[in-house]
Amino acid sequence: MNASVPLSLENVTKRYGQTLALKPTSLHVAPGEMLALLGPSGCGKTTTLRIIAGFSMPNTGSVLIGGVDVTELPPNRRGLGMVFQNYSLFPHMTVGQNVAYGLKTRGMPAAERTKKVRAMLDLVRLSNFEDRSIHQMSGGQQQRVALARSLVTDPKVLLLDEPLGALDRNLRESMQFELRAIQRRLGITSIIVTHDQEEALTMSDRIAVMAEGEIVQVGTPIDIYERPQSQFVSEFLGTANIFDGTLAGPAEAGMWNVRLTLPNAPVVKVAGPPSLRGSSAIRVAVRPERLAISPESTQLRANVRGIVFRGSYYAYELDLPGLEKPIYVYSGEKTVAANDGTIGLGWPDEYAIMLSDGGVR
Amino acid sequence: MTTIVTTPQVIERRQKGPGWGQVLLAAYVLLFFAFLLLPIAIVVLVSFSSSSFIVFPMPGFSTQWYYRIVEYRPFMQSLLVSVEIALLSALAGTVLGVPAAIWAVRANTNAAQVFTNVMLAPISVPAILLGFSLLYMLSALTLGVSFLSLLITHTVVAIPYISRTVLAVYRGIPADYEEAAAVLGASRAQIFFQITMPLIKPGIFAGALFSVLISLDNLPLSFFFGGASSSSLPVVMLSYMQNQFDPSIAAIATVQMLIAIVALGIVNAIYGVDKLTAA
Repeated sequence: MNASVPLSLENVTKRYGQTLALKPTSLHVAPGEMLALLGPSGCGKTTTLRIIAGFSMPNTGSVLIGGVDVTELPPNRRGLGMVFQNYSLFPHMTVGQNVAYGLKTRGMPAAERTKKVRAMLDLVRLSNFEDRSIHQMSGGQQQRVALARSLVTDPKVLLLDEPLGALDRNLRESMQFELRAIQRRLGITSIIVTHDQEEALTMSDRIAVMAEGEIVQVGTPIDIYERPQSQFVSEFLGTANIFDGTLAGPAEAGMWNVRLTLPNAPVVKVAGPPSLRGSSAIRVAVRPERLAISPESTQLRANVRGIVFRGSYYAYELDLPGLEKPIYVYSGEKTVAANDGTIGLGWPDEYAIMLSDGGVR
Repeated sequence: MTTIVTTPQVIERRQKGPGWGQVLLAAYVLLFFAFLLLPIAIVVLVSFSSSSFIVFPMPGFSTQWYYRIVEYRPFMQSLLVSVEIALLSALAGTVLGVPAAIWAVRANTNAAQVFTNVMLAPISVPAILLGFSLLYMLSALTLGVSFLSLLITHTVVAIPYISRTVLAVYRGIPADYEEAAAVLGASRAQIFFQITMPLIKPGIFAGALFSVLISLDNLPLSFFFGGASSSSLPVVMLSYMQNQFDPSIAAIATVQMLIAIVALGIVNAIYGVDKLTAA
């Protein structure tokens, strides 16, 4: 029971009928941290958020806020803030009344309320919008009203449920930065639920990737992206080229030789734990932007299936003999294939990622 | 082949006039409204007749029948009973029907499903049967033929009208609003009165209005409970017509119609009828 941990989950599970929506899950969020729960729909991230908010009672385990067990407390007594996917601004109230609502339920005198509401609307750059009706606000403005409403009560933890999902692309990007800036300035501990990997990478200090009712990996955005532990994580965050192989023996410090399951059995070096034995099966992932292509001959030769210009880079789709799925390469330059239509493929050793399992699903 | 037009010219396209189809449609709409409104218009007209029995075309104009209905005590007394019953049953129906609807929507159980269907029973059973069985039951409860019995009977019918419309409106409102209020510290009571109620108000208004109009005009139920202090206007009108056939019946019908129109007008002024029908 550590009072300095703003939010922790201890072995929380949730069952709906026969299905286990949330397998035993523990999670600790540090003060001022923004933690993303990232995963495809049905992975349990929303269930987790609803348990934290108090809308859903876990079957086992407990929820602690500031070291206090709140598992049995109803949502209105947990002192949290929450931004909903569709904002859920009360349509029968003005912008000011919406923001003031949380203060009203706490019985704050009107004068003090007005002052706090104004300050909060200033913070989200909506000064002078107090008397507007909700219908007069654009999507981005509604989003900011929802944020102001959830922050005005000084919540212990801020919960964000797909907060930017309803905005168009450009607005979403600018809101990501703005939301993050406000969160940092207030130093408020936050949990953001999202299925958008880019949002998770942009906005959070740590990401908890969820799949099939459990957290499969927790780490900083760079950690998760550069060192995914499973094929699922490597493919859910960004694109990954997957190669199968077998252990061929130790190379230099911390590195292993891996013989890829490809026509002339090329051997590559991959960093891995010292505990590996024998000729176990190894799965290797390499990010498309880490792959290098050249017209010259290298160990791997692929056929060019297509090249797409994507603005800041070219996306190559390559066929590698012996692989069913195509290989993707992102490159800033346009590389010309050799006369026989093939292209050389390789990568610096440090960018090969050894996956510790065959991947969830 | 390409033709190059050197002098750009504006070509006025011939605008099509109304075709046969449109003329027919207009005629149909006109006929439709005539069919709908003509009988009502004739009732209103006849109420101003100078003849002492209902005849059309009427021989002359007079307001005597309006004096007659004011002087004829049963009409005024039963009109008062009808209005009281209509308003009170709508109120009781709201108090009883709204919580039922709210539960039925949010409780995601089979029982709620069954309940939603059963709730409509009072308006699916023939009204005569319902009135008859209620008379039996209320007599057994020693209430018999009384104002209270009449009120209970009308409330039984008001509940489905109100809860059904509230149900439809409330179904369209996501639980998010209530959850948002809960996170903001609102208690169950605060959520209900400050969030849920304002959101379902169109449904309550619409349902209550329906139930008032249905109650004002209900004969088969009221018929069983027509005592000295509990005869509603339609019951008195029916018995009047069995003996006499003078235009005062048209006059009282016009008054009744006026009440309904005024009620709609008030609701429209406060709320807007378009919002009711949207519900």
